[in-house]
Amino acid sequence: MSDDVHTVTAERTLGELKTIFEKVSYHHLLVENEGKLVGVISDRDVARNLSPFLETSSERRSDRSLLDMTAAELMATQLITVGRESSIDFASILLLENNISCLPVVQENGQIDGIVSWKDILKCHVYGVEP
Amino acid sequence: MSTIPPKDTPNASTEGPQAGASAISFHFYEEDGTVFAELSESSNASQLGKLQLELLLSQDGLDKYQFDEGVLDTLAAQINKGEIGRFHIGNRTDAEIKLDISSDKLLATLDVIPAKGGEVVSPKLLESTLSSNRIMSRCVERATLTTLLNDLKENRAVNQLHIAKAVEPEGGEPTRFESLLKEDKDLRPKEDDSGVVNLKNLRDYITVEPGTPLMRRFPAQEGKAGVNVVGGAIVSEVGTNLDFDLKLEGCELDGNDSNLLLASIKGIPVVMSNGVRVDPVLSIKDVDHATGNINFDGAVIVGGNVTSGFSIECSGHIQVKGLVEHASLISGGNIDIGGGVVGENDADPPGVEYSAHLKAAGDISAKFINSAFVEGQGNLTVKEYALNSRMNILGQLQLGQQGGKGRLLGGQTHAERGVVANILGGEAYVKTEIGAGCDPLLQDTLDKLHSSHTRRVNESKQLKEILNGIVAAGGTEQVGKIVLAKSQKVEEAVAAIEQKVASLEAEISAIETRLTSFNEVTVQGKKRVYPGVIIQVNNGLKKTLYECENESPGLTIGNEE
Repeated sequence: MSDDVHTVTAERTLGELKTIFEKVSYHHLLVENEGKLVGVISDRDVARNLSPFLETSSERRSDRSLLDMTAAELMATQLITVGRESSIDFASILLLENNISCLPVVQENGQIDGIVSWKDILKCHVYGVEP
Repeated sequence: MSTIPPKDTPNASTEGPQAGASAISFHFYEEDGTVFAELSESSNASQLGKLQLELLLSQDGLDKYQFDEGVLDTLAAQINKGEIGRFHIGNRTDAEIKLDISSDKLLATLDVIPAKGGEVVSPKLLESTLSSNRIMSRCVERATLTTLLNDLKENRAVNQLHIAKAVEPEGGEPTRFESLLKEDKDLRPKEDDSGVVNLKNLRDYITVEPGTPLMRRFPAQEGKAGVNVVGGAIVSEVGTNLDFDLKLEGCELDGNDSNLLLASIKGIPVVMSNGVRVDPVLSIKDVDHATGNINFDGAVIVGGNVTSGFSIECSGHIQVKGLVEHASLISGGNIDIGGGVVGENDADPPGVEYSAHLKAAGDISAKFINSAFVEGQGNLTVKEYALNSRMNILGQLQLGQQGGKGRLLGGQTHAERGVVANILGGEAYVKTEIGAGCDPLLQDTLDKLHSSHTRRVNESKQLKEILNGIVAAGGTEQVGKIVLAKSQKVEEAVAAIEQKVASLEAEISAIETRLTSFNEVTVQGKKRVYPGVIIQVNNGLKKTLYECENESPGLTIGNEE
């Protein structure tokens, strides 16, 4: 699990999210409200909502206006999460069967503790380190 | 020397003395080895003495023969008187060998008188002398024999030579007992892993478990017989045979080896000369510089005091008949202190560092406790008073309930099962904090367990839904050439989570039971309660805080105020 989680608020715009994903190497941002998890946004969610004509000669006003969409409109709210005490098998099955690549780690009240990715799980199985 | 006269010539003349000295000549007779002196008349012979006669004998080559004592003096006198005649004055003698054997036959002594012109003692003669006396060759030392043969060859006198000595018997070995225990006789402080040397840590006491080998017995050994100089046997002594002292407690013989002693109980071994006693407890007069700190796997009884700065740590009970002064006692059982506990707390603010510390997995009792840190999982019983101490116990604190003043004054006390005292606080209104009932953290723990339980139940539910989906889809999945039985893995994950859920439910149930058990917990000052006393009782669901503002003749705080 990574404790150093990059979170954003639900008010962040698509444009801002696009800029963030252009600068970082990871693919998911947790959306929080007062430290509690409210959604998850992936770089694919962002890419899917960007106009293909943006920053081209064919760009229209409507294309640019898409950049004002908020994280709240984009984020997945059907959250699949685990806790610190959840077993690795449980987390692995969730990742595989839900076809997702990371799981937010949250407390019972939704407070964000971290994020665990399929890479973390692999490290655990291969190198024997705690995910 | 002149012509030798016939041997049968008379030895001596009885003719009367002449006016002058006689002339002398010496004659040696080879056939019988005799030496004669012939005195004859002479008109011009000189007076002679013994020395001149010896010189004359030497000149004639006759001085090598045996001359009797005084014979030359007599001869000289005869010469000087002018006597004439033939006189037998000496003999050729062979060497003589004489062997003496002591009456106890332990020693043979040899004397050799050298030859006087005759035969020396030959090796053959020596051998025959020894053999005729039945001297055992093993009793004759080779070096002695070599020296003797050389002396005989050189015709030297030999006096009182110990030619043969008895071979002494070898005594038998008595029964030997060998301790199989590691003994730490080095009572010096040792350096620990971190390089620190505690001058009070002198040693670790050894404990043994039942069946531990304690001592091995080596039976007595027979000796080897000796031999005297004439071959007679000298009987050896048989080693003393001893058995294990089986009256000693805590030990027994190995069923398969009667020479092996085993521990029959757990305890501290005390090695004796022919056995090992296993004491179930370590008994010490005082704990001080002579003993160092005590670290023992078992019970410890201190007949006297535990001196300032020392500690006892053991897995069993601790009993101290005297005082515990500025010392630490940590017990895996009960602590019973006949005297009291004297400590100090100079920390500012108070309540942090105490020079006296008691910690027990069971009950603790003392006559009094003054400025100490006390931790116990059982009850704490104090006869007279507990002053300015920090006491945390899981049982009940009882003061003066079996006689004594029974006063609790100052400090901070928390007793989960309540407090019963005669007097709480003092006339000076000293702040006395008393807590009873369940640990407030216990409720937090319960909440966390409930939360974890809920979450695990949800996880199980999630997995079961996934499992249903997998089963509906056919239960297996093809990954390359491998057919995966995914449902089996998910079922295993579900089973693991449900096992965890069951464990949490048991834990929750135990804590909930424990919480309800605090319903009856009280803090009681039977005779008097003084201002300055603050009582907080947590009966699980109900919490009571009481601050005494007026002196009260008696008070009970808890389920019924």
